[in-house]
Amino acid sequence: MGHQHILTALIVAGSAGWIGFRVWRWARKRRSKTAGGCGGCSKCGEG
Amino acid sequence: MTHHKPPPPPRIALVGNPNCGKTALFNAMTGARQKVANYAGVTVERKEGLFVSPAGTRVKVIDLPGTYSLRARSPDEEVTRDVVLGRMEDEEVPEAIVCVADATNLRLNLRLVLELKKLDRPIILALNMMDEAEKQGMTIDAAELSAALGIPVVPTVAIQTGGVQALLDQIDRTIQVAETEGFAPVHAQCGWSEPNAHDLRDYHREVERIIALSVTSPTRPHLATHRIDTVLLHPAAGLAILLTLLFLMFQAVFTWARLPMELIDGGLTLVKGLVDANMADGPLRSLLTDGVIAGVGSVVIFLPQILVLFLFIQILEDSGYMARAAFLLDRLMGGVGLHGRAFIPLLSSFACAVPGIMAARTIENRADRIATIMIAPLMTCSARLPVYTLIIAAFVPQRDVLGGWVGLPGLVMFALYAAGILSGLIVAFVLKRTILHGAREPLLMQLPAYRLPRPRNVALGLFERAKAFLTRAGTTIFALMVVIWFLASYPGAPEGATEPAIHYSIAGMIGHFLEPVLAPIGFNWQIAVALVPGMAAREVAVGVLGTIYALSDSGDSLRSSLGGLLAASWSLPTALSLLAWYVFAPQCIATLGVVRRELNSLVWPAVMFVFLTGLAYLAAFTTYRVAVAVLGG
Repeated sequence: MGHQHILTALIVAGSAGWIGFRVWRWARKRRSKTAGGCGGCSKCGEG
Repeated sequence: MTHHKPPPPPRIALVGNPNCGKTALFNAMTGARQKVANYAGVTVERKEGLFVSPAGTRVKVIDLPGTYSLRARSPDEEVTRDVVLGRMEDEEVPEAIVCVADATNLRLNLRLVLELKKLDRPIILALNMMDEAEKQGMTIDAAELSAALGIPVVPTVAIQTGGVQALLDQIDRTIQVAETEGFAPVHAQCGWSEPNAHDLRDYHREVERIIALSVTSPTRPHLATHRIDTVLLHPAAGLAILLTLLFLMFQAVFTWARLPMELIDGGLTLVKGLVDANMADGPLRSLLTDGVIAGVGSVVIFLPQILVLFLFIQILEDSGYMARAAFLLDRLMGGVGLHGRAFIPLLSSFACAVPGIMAARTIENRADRIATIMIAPLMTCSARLPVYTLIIAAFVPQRDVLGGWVGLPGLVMFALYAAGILSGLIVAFVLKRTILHGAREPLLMQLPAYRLPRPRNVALGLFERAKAFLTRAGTTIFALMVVIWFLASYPGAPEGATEPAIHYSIAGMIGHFLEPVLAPIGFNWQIAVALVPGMAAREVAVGVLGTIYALSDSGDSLRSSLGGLLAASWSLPTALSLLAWYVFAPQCIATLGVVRRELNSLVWPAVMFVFLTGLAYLAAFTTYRVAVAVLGG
């Protein structure tokens, strides 16, 4: 397997891991919040 | 050697009437950049920050939603009451309170001060906006006021450099005194009980007495705001001016953003050319050009339009005009059964439905609040702007109409925003006459004085918006585009394949699986693929289309190639159908999540998802069928 394939596989795996991490963190934040707080999805720039 | 954990920093809470400048003060003290605007109800939750006082003490400061009394009537006011009275779970009672008062409107603000005094806790009164009070010709004797109230009084101008220095010094003195005497064991609720009518009359009399002692009003009242309001609040002229302003805003979104968009497009094309020229053909080159540049680039290109839109919104917010717009539209909102306070949450939803839905906390009545939340996603959020713009640029000719005064693309964009608003009003009308039936409550709102927007605040607001957009593009959208590229590239075409490789990819299979459901509304399998990750954020759909069509073709210029490819691949009825779909589609997990939390129910987000998806499908189906009948497939 050439360098291009290895680098591509790393970038794809890293990106998939990043999405998984963000979903996990978002779910954890939402569970831990009491009143107030938006869950911090950063969608609006104010989270 | 033993290490002693340092004691927690003393906590002070910023409490005051709505729109008296608490968050501006919070930002000035902590260096934070929380959103401020010239209308009531911007802050609907507690926010905390740390600062080091002039004497070197670390102090935690809590910014709270505005309230006129601790008798909380709406969910945002309940947050303030609960923090101040120590009823908030996992929240220590603040040791001291800084009561922030709008110096130009002390009569209203001092009632809250008198109520807070009953808590028997250290209180400092910050007379904010002292510069405006002086401009209006008012004289406030801070020493006299302090003596009459029995608490320290400090003039502040939160928006000026050094305008909070006196307050910081006073906080130091208050903390020192409290530490010397020992912070009183705070049982916050002692001394406070909900004031009754008799108490309120007493407060009123006391406020009048104190005002007479310490405030000299100008001999000639400040008339500028009143004069401007006679025009801007006129039932006919006011509405005409509001519509003209909104119309100009959408025209500017297209015309002002054109040049920077072309520059970004040119830059992306250059980078794509460099990658193509310097890398050997292979998966990494395809990932960079078809996945990252085509996918992320087709989203980033819309940054100038989003900034132009927010430039207008920020200027209108800072000037004090937004509260007038709420007043003007109260009759229209009331006609469909919405509370007048619904205007601000709905307005916030044009940026993003998430803060919009949270802003509905200012509405006291639960049925009114639910109705507002249910229609918030129908207001066109900024994430829909790239979708609309892409399709309009591809299918709507760049032509002037109405005697050359108006560009056709801007007119179509205005119509799409108007369609969202109109649908929201119709849905609210139906909800309020069926499952959310209830009496209409009158709108009581304090109209802020007009102010010239501060360039620094506008620039900071735009900077924060651009930063958030680019951060998302560089993180979440980038990661999604890489995954989409992978799904659209593998497992690759089998031997003897007759179709392009993407047809045999995982994304192609998902698209073909969903296609039969979406075919009646004119969507092809590529659109079906784009709608699924569009659930994370609507603008991702544009990136996915960019990647999918880049893998199917190659063009010289990113934007023109994607627009051109769409124009060549889709019929006009399909494009119109997708626009109609996006006016209604609830394609945003974050929105559904915040509805669940705000209403503490799984039922309402489920209802929202089903009814908005149904509406989207119905609108797209009708649009497609009518367009096919009129224009031909």
